[in-house]
Amino acid sequence: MSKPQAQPIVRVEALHKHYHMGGEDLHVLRGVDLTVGRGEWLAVLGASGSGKSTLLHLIGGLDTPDEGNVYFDGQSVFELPLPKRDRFRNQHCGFVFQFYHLLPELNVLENTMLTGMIGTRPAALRERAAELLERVGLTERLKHKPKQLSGGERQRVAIARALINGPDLLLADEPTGNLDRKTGEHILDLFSELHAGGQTIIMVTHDAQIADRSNRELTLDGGRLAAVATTAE
Amino acid sequence: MYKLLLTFRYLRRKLIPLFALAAVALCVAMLITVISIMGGFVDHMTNAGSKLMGDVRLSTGAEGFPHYEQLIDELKKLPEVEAAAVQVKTWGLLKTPSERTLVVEVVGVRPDEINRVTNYSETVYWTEDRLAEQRERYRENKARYDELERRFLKLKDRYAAADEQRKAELLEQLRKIDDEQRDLRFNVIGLTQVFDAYAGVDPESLAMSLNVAEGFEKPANPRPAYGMAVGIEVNTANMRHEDGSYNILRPWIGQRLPLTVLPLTSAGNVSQTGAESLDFVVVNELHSGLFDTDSKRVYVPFDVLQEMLQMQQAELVDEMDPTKVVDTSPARASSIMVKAAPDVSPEQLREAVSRQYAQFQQPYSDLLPEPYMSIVTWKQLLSDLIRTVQNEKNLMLFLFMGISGVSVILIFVIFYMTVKEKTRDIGTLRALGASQSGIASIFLMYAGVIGVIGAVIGAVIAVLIVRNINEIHTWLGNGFGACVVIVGAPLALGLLYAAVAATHLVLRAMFDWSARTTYLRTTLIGLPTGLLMMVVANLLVWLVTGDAKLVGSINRQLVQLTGISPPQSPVLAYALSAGVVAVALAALFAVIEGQMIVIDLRLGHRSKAKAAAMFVLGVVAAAVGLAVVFLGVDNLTAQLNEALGITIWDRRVYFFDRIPTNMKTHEVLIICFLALFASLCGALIPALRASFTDPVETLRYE
Repeated sequence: MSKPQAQPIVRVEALHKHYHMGGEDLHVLRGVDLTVGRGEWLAVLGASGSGKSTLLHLIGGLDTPDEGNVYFDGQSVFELPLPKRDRFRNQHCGFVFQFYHLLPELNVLENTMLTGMIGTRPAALRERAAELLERVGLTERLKHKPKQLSGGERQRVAIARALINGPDLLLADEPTGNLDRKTGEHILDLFSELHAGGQTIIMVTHDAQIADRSNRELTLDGGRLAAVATTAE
Repeated sequence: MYKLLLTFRYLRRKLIPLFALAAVALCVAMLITVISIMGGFVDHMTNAGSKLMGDVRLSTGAEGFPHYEQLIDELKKLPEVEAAAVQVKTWGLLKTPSERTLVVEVVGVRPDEINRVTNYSETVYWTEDRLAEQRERYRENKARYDELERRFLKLKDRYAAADEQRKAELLEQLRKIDDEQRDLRFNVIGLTQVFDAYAGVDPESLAMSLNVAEGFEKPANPRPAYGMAVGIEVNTANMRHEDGSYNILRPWIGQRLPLTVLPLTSAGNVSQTGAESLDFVVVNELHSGLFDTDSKRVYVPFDVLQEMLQMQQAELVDEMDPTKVVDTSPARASSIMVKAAPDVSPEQLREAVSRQYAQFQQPYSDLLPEPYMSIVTWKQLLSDLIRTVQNEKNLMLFLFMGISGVSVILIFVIFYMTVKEKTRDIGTLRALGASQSGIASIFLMYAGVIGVIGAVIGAVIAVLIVRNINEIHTWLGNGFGACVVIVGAPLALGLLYAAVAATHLVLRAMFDWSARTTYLRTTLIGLPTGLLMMVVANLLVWLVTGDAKLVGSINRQLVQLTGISPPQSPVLAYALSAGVVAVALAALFAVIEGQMIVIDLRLGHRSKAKAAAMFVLGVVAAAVGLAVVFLGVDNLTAQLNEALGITIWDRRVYFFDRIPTNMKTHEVLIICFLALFASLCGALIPALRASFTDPVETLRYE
């Protein structure tokens, strides 16, 4: 069972998720309850296939649970009709993936602006994107295509893209999983900066050392939350 | 916003949508061209039909019908009738100046009268303007002929003084000059005859009177003769130019031609007096634009033909006492053509004429009622032909729409593949909050842009084709024909492809120095594709013709150049020639490739030695290959055309001497909208598939 550290922003209740694969029924999440406080950095630890990414996708409204619910600021995410759920994801969640998922046809600036262009286009989107790219140290690479960037640079673009709409929640799925240790550290420093600025972060990782950078850790084991640890204030 | 951005980025970054665009453009161009040409047929036929035969025609069998003058007077009283004209018509034998006998349709008319019903005067070929135009042609041909003559005489002198070996060469040159002079000589002589005949005489008034003016016929014949206007294609020596004018080689103007017809009695039996023959002087030629008419019809004065056919008014005598007149046989005519008053349709006119005729016919026992007297509109008269063309138009449209279905399938496949390739990006977009409808609209907009651009390009191509269809036809059939289609097209495509690839590379080099080039892959695809097209096309020619005759010219050139005899087997000879062309193509690609490598060197991706070697090799190979191809290309063209018998447009088969076209704006717009609709249809399923992509599935497996 988890314990909120601050005013809750996300509440997960008795979440169950099954997958049917290769004729087998996989019960990935077996009744997960969780509360995440505003401004909290939560790390979800677990081995491969433990359901970490599934939990992240469910919190972001990208997937639907078989049972249970996710509440964002008290509003049930899955009671929202699909278009509104898409809008919720665009306005309130920022996703960062292990493999960056930048669009190869767009340059760095356009990739960063993409989330803004999908939703209600915020004023001065281009300036805001440039500002975010400056913050992640990519001012010189605005016109470059993703394939012209290193892995760390791509991930920084992905983070800038996730932040463009000023999301309440940053959902990071193994954000350093595809990077070398040093580059990974730089990315985690960026997360620390964001957290210090009040950003709520839920990050899934299989690496306990990375999880140590968060202020709360949860471990998923066999689809259940197995351990809770507070790592930092 | 993001939809528009991605739509244009997908268009710019991928080569494959260009194929979809090309497919749409080609289908649109094809459909518009077909519909415009077939529409042109129908319209031209419609116009020509009413202009040539009036709106309604009354006619019986070849024996004709009496009381036509009274009938015309009655018809003219109708408010629906603007004019009416009588004619006698039969088939006759015309003896040409070259002693050939032609079967012609002989029409006896009163030109002034018929001109009020049809466009007779507009079809008169020899006018003052035409004479002036032909004088210009005459001057040009005469100057060229004289120049050739001077050269001929000079060479002739040298020939007399030359040794045996030189004599053979000079003889060849003399022969060539003589060949070129032949047509010019006939044209110059022919036109001189025409100008002489029309000296001081107005050709149009001759056509309108069908009389022979004094001094027109040279030398004057003691027996008087009547004038005859002849369809311009009846004289097969009149060779038509692409611009519609004729190359006059052996004119009939001013010549006296015997015409023989067979008179029929009022009962329709052959007259006991037998065939009637009379000389006519050709006073003018007629060009209606309808090949069928221009190649068969001759016009002579109404009264003269009527008398030849014994259809004039005659006294009937007692069989026992030929001096005793028992009755009078009224004059007969074959048909009456009626022109409708303004705003009266041919159908309305037919109704009125039919009613009037029913009343008129009653008191006359020798006039048969309808339907023995046929009263038909020109549309009914040409209904078989118009219906056939209309059916053909519909069938062609149906067939080509079926073919256009291929572009829908192509778009479907291209979009399906694109969606499959972009699955991860679609998942990303969904994760970033893009809605299902937003994802679908990216691909639908993408298809829409392809549809619009493709339709516009297709329409432009169609306009160019339709406007120049006659020139294209002449060019395809006579100028290059098979050579362009079979040999030139793959070559041109290959070159175009290589040029586009090279331009692409240069642009990338200019604007994106750090980018790695992809030219090698594209060129390597282009090279075998071009060669394969070339070889397959040539093999098809060989399969169709059944022998290797068409490559004989290249072989002869090779023998001359090298002194080595080519293989005797036609298959081997063919393979050799196809191989030579293939090497030439390969060499061209090698040049391009070499140039590309040189450009690429600047980007630091290749070794200098390798690039230089490739470039030199390419230039040498290209020079050798192209030299061999161009040495034989003229002969190859002639051989191919002869071997394939290419005549894309045979005016004898159709009704007109030029391909008629009529491009209607609304039809073009409909086809363009259909193309857009087809593009959207092709993209619909892939777009829906894209919208239903489960983002979790795509993001889970990296």
